[in-house]
Amino acid sequence: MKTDRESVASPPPCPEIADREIFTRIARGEVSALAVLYERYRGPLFRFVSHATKHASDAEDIVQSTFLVAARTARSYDGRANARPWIFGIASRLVHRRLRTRARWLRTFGELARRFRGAYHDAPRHLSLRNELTRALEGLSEAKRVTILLAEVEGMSCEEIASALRVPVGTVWTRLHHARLELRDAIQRGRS
Amino acid sequence: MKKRCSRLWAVEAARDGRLGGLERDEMHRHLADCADCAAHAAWLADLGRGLRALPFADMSQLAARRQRAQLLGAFNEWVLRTSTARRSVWGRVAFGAAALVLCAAGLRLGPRLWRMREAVTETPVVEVQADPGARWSQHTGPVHRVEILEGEVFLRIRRTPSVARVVITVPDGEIEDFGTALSVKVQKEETAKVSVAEGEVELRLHGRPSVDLRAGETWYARRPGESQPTLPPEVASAGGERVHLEAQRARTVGLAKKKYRRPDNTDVGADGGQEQAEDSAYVAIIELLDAGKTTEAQAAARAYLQRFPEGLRRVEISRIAAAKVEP
Repeated sequence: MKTDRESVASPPPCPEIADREIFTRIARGEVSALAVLYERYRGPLFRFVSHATKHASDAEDIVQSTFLVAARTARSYDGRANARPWIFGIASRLVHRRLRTRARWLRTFGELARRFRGAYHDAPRHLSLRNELTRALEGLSEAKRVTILLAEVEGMSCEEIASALRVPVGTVWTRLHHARLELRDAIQRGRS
Repeated sequence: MKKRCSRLWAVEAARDGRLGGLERDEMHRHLADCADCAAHAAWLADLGRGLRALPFADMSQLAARRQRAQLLGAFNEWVLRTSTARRSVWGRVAFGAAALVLCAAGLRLGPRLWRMREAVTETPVVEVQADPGARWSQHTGPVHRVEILEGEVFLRIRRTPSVARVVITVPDGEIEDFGTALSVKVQKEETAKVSVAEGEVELRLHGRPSVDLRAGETWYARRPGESQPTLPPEVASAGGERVHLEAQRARTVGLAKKKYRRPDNTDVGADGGQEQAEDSAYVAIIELLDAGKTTEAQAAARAYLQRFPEGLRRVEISRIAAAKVEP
């Protein structure tokens, strides 16, 4: 189905080698095919993971792990022409795992965590709109944040997002709707 | 409280692709008349733009290159590990039996084997001769890597049991060696020429199909609008295009003329007639291949084989005629 979203720049397609062909070659052990995949998707993947995890150091690790997992599981690639849902799906699961580990760490080291969170909340209140949006985004649950990033920043359709996150497409619609409502409320609270 | 438009939900639905063609068109017409829905659509668009404009600190080029190298290295190690781990149980049994036999033989032949090992380790895996100003490096390991950043480098590769693969890395791809002597030229971070003197290689460059090159073959990167490389002076003086085309494939005029020499030591084509016709047919096939006209070249190859069943180049032409053409 066509969407009303503004077109988002996707990685330039290589007319000679489709994603499907790249994965076939990676499955055969061709290292150069993995290099092509890396050049094609590193930028958008890093952007997505940076916003999803909030920590730059996590983003580099997760991006590298994503490509390594994609390469090792290339034999089970589903053969579609566009690999974005596949790759972003792997990245989303790695983000989830990382955030879960981080939350467990924070729970374990409770006092240190309270001091850390306290310092964060003591940040000055005179924030620009862009920072308000950043904070609002960080206030979303991981599921809603990942969904709205894939939709609005990466330009994926709801069907692609559903495939990447392995959820029904109705769940994607619901998450998008609630994410938008929460972002609007958080921005309005920030301004007032 | 002001009642909002009951079709506000459809604005989001249109944005997310939940409406069919007619419904979307109808929604767009409604937006022109409804301030509520138009404001909501504008807000959604602003939110999208704001999210896309969120700042983030991207990796530096150096960090990205480092990450790329680490990633490719890790994948390569994994490929080697998994391919060796697939040995069957019987394979392991056979391996164990062979190991026992080798141990017994080793006890008898120990001193001689030690001398052979020393001889192998003294011989470098890859001998490199580089043009002045060329930038390159070598990295040893189970996969021996030679990285060429700029300039022309000639490599002679010797196989040893401890080195499973030799890979030559260039800025825009890599070349896998299968037991060769070859030269590689890199200009402005792009591979310009690969010439194989012995053995064969697989050339894998970004954005191009992989190419197999055998002994005597040379690959040039030709940019759009560029003509054939100009003849070196020694080739031009040696007798023109026939020798030039072979020289392109053999890299030196001497080797080219040698390939054309018949068993009775006469130059091919010197006496005209049958031999000249055969040479002309061969040269025409090579010209078609160099121009990228593979289908025409294969048709010409088949015609050559029919016309000259005992021709001097029948083995090479048979390979060209039988090669699969990529769509």
